[in-house]
Amino acid sequence: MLSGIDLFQVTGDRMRYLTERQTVIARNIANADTPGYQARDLPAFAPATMAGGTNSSGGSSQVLLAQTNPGHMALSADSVASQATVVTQAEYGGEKPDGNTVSVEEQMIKSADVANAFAMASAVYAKSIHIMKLAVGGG
Amino acid sequence: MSDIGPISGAGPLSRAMASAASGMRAQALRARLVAENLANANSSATSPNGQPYQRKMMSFAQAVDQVTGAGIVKPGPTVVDKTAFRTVYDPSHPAADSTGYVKLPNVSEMVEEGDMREAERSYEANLATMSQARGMYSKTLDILKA
Repeated sequence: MLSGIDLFQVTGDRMRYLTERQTVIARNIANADTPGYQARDLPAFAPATMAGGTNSSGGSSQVLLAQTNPGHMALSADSVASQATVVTQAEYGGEKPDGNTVSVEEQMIKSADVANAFAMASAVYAKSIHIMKLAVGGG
Repeated sequence: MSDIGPISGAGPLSRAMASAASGMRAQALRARLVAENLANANSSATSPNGQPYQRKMMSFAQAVDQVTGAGIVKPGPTVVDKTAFRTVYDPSHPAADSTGYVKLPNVSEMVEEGDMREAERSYEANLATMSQARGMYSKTLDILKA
């Protein structure tokens, strides 16, 4: 019901995206000492409504890549983490002698970023519910 | 209506916590190996033919957790350092060879100290990810209170 409303849909998508990104970051940090491991990250967040993937009236609210060509394969929401792409060049440091490209500092910054963005998204979601309650008259 | 993935169980936040937990487990094992090395820094053999303690080293490998599907890190097999042993001249030692030299473990306190610090920092990084994932989890639950 709530996902039929654009505000809830986009905020929900945002939170879902951020949890997936946190998973990818956790995996990077866990593998910070694994030889040959390449640091991964998710593509930037794009709401499904903006990506042209689905509609806002009860359609799918998954975070998906835009399918601009009939040959593009569809991905389900739970495989968003599988879209994680290898970061070509670490912003800090670079490749270690054992072929590992994880920079723990960089991952910590990203992780803090995700946590802050999530706090904001969940606050917006909670506030929207509050506004909704006001509209319904429940106060 | 899209299906909403669970935040617990096989949900993304649980996977994040599983990854962080595996990282902490691996770093704790690394700290244990450092402690073993330091404890045995002077464990020589007791006979001229014996070998002294050989430095143990940690290896890491990436893996996938079968239950949650999370990308985790798995401690690989423990390997031993093949560097040459230290030797000191001590003819009275029971392990001294015919020329009077005793083989001592190839453990360097300086290297172990550095390894320990690295394990500690990596452990802290994993712990921070874990608490951030937990924070996100509890913020999601806070929506219920709104």
